[in-house]
Order: sequence, then C-alpha cells, then structure tokens
Amino acid sequence: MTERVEGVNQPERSSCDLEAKNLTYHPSGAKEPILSDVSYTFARGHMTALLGPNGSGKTTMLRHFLSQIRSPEGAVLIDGRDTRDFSPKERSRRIAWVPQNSSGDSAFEVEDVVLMARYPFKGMWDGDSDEDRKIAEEAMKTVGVYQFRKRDFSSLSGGERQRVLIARALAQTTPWILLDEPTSNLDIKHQIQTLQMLKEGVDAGKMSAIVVMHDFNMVEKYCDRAIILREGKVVAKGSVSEVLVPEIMREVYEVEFDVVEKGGRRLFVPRSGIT
Amino acid sequence: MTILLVIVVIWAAAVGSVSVPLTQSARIVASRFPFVNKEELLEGIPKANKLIIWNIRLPRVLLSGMVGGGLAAAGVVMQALFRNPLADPQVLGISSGAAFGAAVAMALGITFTVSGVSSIWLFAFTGAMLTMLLVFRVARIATSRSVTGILLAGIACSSMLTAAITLLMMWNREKLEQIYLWMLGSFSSATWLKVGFIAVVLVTAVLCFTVLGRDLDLLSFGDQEAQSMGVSVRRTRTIAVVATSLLVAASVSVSGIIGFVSLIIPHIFRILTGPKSRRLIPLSLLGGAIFMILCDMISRTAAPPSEIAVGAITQVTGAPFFLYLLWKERRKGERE
Repeated sequence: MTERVEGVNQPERSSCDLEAKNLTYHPSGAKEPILSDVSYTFARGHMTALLGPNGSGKTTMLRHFLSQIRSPEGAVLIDGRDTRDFSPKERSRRIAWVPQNSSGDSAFEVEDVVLMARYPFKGMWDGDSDEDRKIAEEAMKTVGVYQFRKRDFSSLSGGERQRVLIARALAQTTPWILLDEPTSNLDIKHQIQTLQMLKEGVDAGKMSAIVVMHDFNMVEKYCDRAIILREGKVVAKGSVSEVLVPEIMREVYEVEFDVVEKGGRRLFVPRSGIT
Repeated sequence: MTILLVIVVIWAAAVGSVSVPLTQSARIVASRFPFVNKEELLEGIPKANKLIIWNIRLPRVLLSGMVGGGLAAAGVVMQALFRNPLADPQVLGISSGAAFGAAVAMALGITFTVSGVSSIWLFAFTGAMLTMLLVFRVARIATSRSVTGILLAGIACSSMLTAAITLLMMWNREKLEQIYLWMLGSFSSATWLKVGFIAVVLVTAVLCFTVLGRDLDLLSFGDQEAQSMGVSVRRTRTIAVVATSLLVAASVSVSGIIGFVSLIIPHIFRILTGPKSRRLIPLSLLGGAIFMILCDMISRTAAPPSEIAVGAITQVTGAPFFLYLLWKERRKGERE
C-alpha cells in the first residue's frame, strides 16, 4: 500500500485550466437547484472574482471544485480531466482552498498548521523534509505570519487565523487556489496586503486564483476577470470592466451604484435607496 | 521513557507478597533475552523466586502495561477522530459490550477453559465485537457520513447494555459481587496466553495509528479542510475506528473496564508535548503502560492479601494529577 510521491507528479504551476461544465446541483428535497447548468472556464494566469449575493451558489461552486460535493450532473475538469477521477492527494496537488472560517480550533503551532499543507506530497512514513520547512517558511513570510509561527493556532485572532490559512494554502504549492472571502476578517491594511500579495503571485505566474468577494472596489483594483452568479445561474462573465457595470449590479444585487472615475480607476458608490 | 518503562517492569515484578530482590528480578527478566548466558545470570536465585517472577508476576506486569498503553493510545486516536477532548473508547459502547458478555457468562455459570482460554474472556471479547458491529451498523443506517452518528449509537448501546447488566446482577444476586468486581477491572487472571493475544492486537493497532498519524492531525481541522489537503477522510476514519475498537475490545476482555487511562494519559502528554499525533501516540503508549503497571502494583500490594480494584486506583491517583496539570496550564495561559 505504499504510495510513492515524486516531484514528477506535481503539475506545472499555472499550467492548467479549471473548467465547470454544465454544473448542476439539485439536492433532494430542495425546491430550486442551487446550481443550474453553470459552465465557465477559469483561465490560467488570472485572478478571477466570483461574485453574487448571499445564497447565489458561490460557495457551492467552490465545493464542487474541491470534490466536497459530487453532483451527478455536470463535471469539473482540470486540464480536461474530470476531477472525480483524481485521488484526494492528486486533486489537492492541483487545488488549494482557503475556507472562510476554519473549523479547526486546535492547539497546533502555526508552523505545524502550515506544514500540514505538504501532506499531498508525502508518503505514508515520510516526515517533514527540509524542503517542506523552507516552503512553509516562505509562505508564512509572504503572508506576514512568520513572527507568530510558534504560537498556538487557537490563540490567534480571527484575522490572524485567516492569514495563516492563506499561508497554508500557499504552502500547498498548487496551480489553483480558491479563496472564500479571504479578507472578511481582515482590517483594511491587511485586506490590501493580502490581495496585493495574491495578485503578485498570479502575475508572477506562480498560480491562478478564484476569489469570492463582495467589495467591488477591491475587485476592480485586484482582479482581472469576474463571474456573477444569481440563484445558481451565471448572470455575467468576462473581464471586470465588462461584468461590473451598474445595470448588471442593479439587477443582481438590487442596489443602485454610482460609478466615479478616480485616478484611472472606477469607484463604486452604493446609493442609499434600495431598488 | 522506554528505559523508565523497563525499570518499572523489573521493579513491579520484584514487589509483592513475596519480596524478591531487584537484582534477581532484573536477572530473571534478562535471562529470557536471546544471546545471553542463562546459567550465569540465574546462578544463586531460588527456584521459587524464578517461578513467582516468570509465571505469576511478569505476565501480570506485562499485561497491565500493554492494556494501559493500548487504552491510552486508543484515547489519543478517539479524541483526534471525534475532535472532542472527552471522547474515549467507552463512548463507543465497546466496554459495555465486553462487560455484558462477561456478565452473561458469570450469571449463567458458564465456566470452562479450553487450552487456556476461559469462558469469561471469550464471552467478553465476543460481546465487545458484537457491540462494535451493532454500533457501526446502526450508525451507518442513521447517518452515512457523520461521526456524531457513531457516537450517538455508541452511547445508546452503552446505556442499553449497562441496564442489561444491572438486570443480570439483580436476577443473580449470588453472582453480584463477582460481576461487579470484574467490571471494576483487574489483572489478577493474567497468563502468558493473554499477554500474547494483547501483544498481537496492540502491535497491529499501533502500526495503523502510526501510519495514520499525519491524517489524524489534519482531521483536527474538520473533514472538509482535511479533504482539501488530500486526506481520504472516510478511509482514515474507518481504519482508525476499527483498529481502536479491536484494541479496546481485546483490552477490556482480559482486564475488565478500567476507566480514565484513555482520557487522562493523552491529555497529560498533550499538555506536556503538544498535539502532534506522531509524537503523542508513542508517548501515551509508554506513559499509559508505566501508569497502569504502577497502579496495578498498588492494587496488589496496598492491602494484602486482598486486592484493591485497579480501576479505582487509576482514578484516585490520576485525577488529582490531571487537575494539577490543568490548573498549571491555566496559570500559564493567564500570564501570556
């Protein structure tokens, strides 16, 4: 039962597309499907914003990518290969996940938590190699959590935990990284730092990212593509400038937005009245 | 710690109603290792002492050590698996199953021994295994994926069996003491056969645990996160639960129900050395073994010629120490 994990098995970073193909999810007992016939190819080398109101199916879509849900209808393909054919380790060498809130409240030290991400590269008996430690150290430094690497994960604040989870996902060295509202617990400085860091990673060709977010100004600044879901259907997709237009946003969010040009960038200001 | 364990084994073998000098005890133990000169080692030791140590004390000491270590290691795995610091093998209902099996054998007066295997031992192990299968069966029907299903099924079976045991005791008053004493746990019926039986199960289970060490650590972050990092959650869970169940079933069938070891020993080492399973499991194994050998030693020497139930001693000695550690840990937390 020994499993050999060799460097060869690791896919080239940022070398594969992630494709949702006719993804439909209709849990038994639910009136309406949560996802209906969603097709979209997340192209490599981009930071794509996954937008939509609460309950529109964003997280469900991410969960399909992670094989946490396996719907009989539709498929998720990585470089043309159905993710259902991947073993958990194979899949997790390609896609990393940053959950919105970690359910872990463990006494593990931050350093050990980040090192856990090296699991898919390990055989059954392997310990942590020097290379693993180097990768973890680098990830912690990139996200700025290196200074509390020896602290217990459970002793951290919500924002600090969120950054540790991002470091953990980076240490998984996958071509794809999925982030579910990665900045929801962060103060404004760390929001900017985190998104900047992700964008730099994507621009440097280290990875491609799908980010669930709600702040259009941040989307405008850091993402280059966007897809909007509403009631499990794709409403708009394409470049950020195509997707983020007041008409679509009004339709999806039922909020009027004023668009202000400032320094070559658009700013989205919600009007107080709800349509 | 391994050295400490060896010392404790030799010491525990020397202490008893007939006192044997420590050096003799050590020499008798050493004489059984390969590549040593037996005659030279055993020279001048009375034959009675050799018999006492080898045939009576040593099996008992080794059995208590392996049961203690096994229960402690099982505790580590259960707590990681259920992500609950209070989880211990008893909640799966396995111990109650074993007790019920033993109670049935005693109440019906079934006493036979086939090539060293007593009826009570056999019934206890069968009871534990049947309960385990029942719990898994029910849990699978109730909820296919959740751990809570197993936990609830275990607790339900456990209380049902405990009630059944109480009834058996009420209907067979003359056996009441015997059943009750068995349930409190004792190593007085230790034989080399039991030692061998436990050794096989223990080695297998610990091997499984060691392989799963990393998976168990990741599972502390919940199924979904563990899965996203590549853990085959279901496979890990199945192997771990089956291995723990077998280990606990084997342990209680030879010793009765000895509470607290599987709860307290893992926690002590978690406080001392952190939560990594690959470190925690071997340490708890050794620590549990040492703790149980000492408790058993107290149980047979504190009030001769009768014995104090070893389960009572594990709780009396373990609980205060545990409280002290918790208190110290809290103080540390407040200072930070």
